[in-house]
Amino acid sequence: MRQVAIYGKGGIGKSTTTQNLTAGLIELGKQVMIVGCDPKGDSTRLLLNGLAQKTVLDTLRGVGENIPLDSILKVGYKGTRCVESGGPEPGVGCAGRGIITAIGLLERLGAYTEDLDYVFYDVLGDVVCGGFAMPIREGKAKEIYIVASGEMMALYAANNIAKGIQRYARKGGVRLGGIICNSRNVDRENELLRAFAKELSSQLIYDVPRHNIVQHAEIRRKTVIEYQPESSQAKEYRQLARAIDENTHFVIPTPMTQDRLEEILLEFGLLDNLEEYEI
Amino acid sequence: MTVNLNLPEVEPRERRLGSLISFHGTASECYEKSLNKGLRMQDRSFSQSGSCPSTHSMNTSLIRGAAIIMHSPVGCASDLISRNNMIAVYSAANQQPLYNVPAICSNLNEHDTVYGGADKLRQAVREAYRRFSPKVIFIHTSCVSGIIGEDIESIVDEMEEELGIIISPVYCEGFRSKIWSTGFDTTAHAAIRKIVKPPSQEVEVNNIVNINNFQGTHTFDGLLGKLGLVPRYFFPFSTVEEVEHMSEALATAHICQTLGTYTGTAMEQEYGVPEIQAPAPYGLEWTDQWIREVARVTGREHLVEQVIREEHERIAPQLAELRSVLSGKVVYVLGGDSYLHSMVSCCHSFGMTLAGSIAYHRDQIYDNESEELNSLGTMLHSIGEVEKYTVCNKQPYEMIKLLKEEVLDVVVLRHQQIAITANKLGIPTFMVSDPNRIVGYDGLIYFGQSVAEAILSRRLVKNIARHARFPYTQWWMNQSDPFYYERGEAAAN
Repeated sequence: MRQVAIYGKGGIGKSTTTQNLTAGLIELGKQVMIVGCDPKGDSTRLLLNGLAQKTVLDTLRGVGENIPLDSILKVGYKGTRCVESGGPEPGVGCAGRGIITAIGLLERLGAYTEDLDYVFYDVLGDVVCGGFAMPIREGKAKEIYIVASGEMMALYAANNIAKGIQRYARKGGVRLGGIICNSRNVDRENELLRAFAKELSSQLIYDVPRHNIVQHAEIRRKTVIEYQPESSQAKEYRQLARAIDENTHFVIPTPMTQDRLEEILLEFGLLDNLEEYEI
Repeated sequence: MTVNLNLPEVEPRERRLGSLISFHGTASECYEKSLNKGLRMQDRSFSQSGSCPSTHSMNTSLIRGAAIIMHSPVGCASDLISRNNMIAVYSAANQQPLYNVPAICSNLNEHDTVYGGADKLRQAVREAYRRFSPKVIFIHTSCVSGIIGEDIESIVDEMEEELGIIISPVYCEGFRSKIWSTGFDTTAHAAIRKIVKPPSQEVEVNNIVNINNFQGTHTFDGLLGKLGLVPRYFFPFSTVEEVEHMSEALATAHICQTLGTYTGTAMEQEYGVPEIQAPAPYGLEWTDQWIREVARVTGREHLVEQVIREEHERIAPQLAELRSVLSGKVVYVLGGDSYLHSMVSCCHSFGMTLAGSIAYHRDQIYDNESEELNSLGTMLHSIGEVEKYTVCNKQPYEMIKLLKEEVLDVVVLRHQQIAITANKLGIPTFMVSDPNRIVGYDGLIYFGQSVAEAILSRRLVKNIARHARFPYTQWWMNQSDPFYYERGEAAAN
């Protein structure tokens, strides 16, 4: 069983990427479970064709711990197992602790069965406290992918996440498997992300191009693979799935200083664009 | 320096007073470097034991007419048991009925940590109101409620409106301070901020002096009574009504600067009640100085010299007898910052020889930055240098090495856990369990008698030492540097 955590800046497309990637892996015959680790509880809606009926924490709050597994684990697209940890009401309690509680409950209820090939943890964008680092501590996810784009804040967040991975990598077995580019069509984006990944001692494992069909599929609560299986974008996600399935390049990342990060950005990024608009 | 009663939280001592948990050198070095808060907080890389500020904030539970809520996991509330012990002692001494500490713990668990414990807190407040009919409810926070950012202020406002009584929050998350005495300040802050009323115009005869103390034992009655003054003891075993009227007193005094200067400063600053600026009344000279200052502040100077003369004459025979027993006896003194200096003052009154001392922490300055209240300075000026002056927050592994270096007749100290450590080394100890007991002239005689009795136990403790085993490795027992683990500057928050 490969346990994989997907991190990245908020709004970068982690959930969309993870679910489409999952659909790709399902087509390869893999058994996959997705654990959404975001209080918003929207990590599995494309696979379930709608929001999960009840999150783990909503169920715990209402019913308590004596619940059957199937009350929190829903089966979605072609047998994908979907769980949402959920969280407390905004501004109350501790969502981070909620993640820890939810994953603990999943283990006790026997959600991690032998037949699973993959468990994906789709984690809230900003790893604000220890709870959101839970999937990469305590020997859960051993493999991490960071979703990024060629924008400064995305790379800034990715570098910070790499720092967290580095800390836990020294103690446990967690490794960075690569950067997934979710393209924003920024100039020289692919080159920039390759350079960034290299600086982290990692790789750009796949560059997913931007395509409006992703939006259309989302509105219909479907992955692209389910919505239009023959589209070029569906092929891209299948290739991403294959790249991850075949990946053997796992590293302890080497995050960079703020200065070095900005150097790389200058080298590939924004200044050229600004000059273009000079009159 | 001022205290800020507008804020619900007390600033921890590390930041406010530059407090320390470790130092070794001479007393004068510690004093001089402290004058401008020049010493930096140092930590130890190994800590064997400790005490939580939360525990020391729980004296609110001893204010009669108040109830407390521990908004915490139930473990934090276990320290309330020690308050039951204090109630038992006080009730027995004052022929009063025994009662249980009026407290409820909201018992925050995993579920509450995730979803917030606001409903449980409301339920606990209502239950405390129903069960104890209190005039005031103190809500004590904890590490857990602090980390999850529980909105205590809103609940306080809401419950005050619902129940029509005072609800006072006590912010005492253990992680906020390495100095357990910060807990004393949180008690004083919560009580003064919400309960004390402005002085009433109708008070005609005023002879009240506020005494800030731990256990409410009435040992100031006789001494102050000779000046026609009446002490009121705060906060343990005071009533809510007495706290309301604290602002009407002639002066505020205390048994220990470490405990009392927050209250003294607050009462002076907010209500103009003067704080007695003299060393605490322990030992002959310091008691003289203290009672003179009390007389000056309360307009009783015409009485005081005669009182002092008569008191000296009254205790002279016993004092002389005890001096003949204790003079030259070698003593090591251990206690919390200022109270340490007070115990040294008592030893000095009997001509004992001080081998060294250990303060359980050090406040580099006090809330009321008066030189007269800097007890370390007072000790240096009136008694003299202490060559071996250590600050150690009760780490027995370090303390035993310091005590083993000496040939001692007796150890005088506070806190029972440390008393047994000295006994295991074969040294007789006198533990001052109630600081009020050694106050003033009578207290000094009691102190001398107790130390003399303790010395008689040397054969017993030698026997104990023969059978006692310390849990330390041979490597540590042979280690030449007692301060081996003291290192680095800790972040002073």
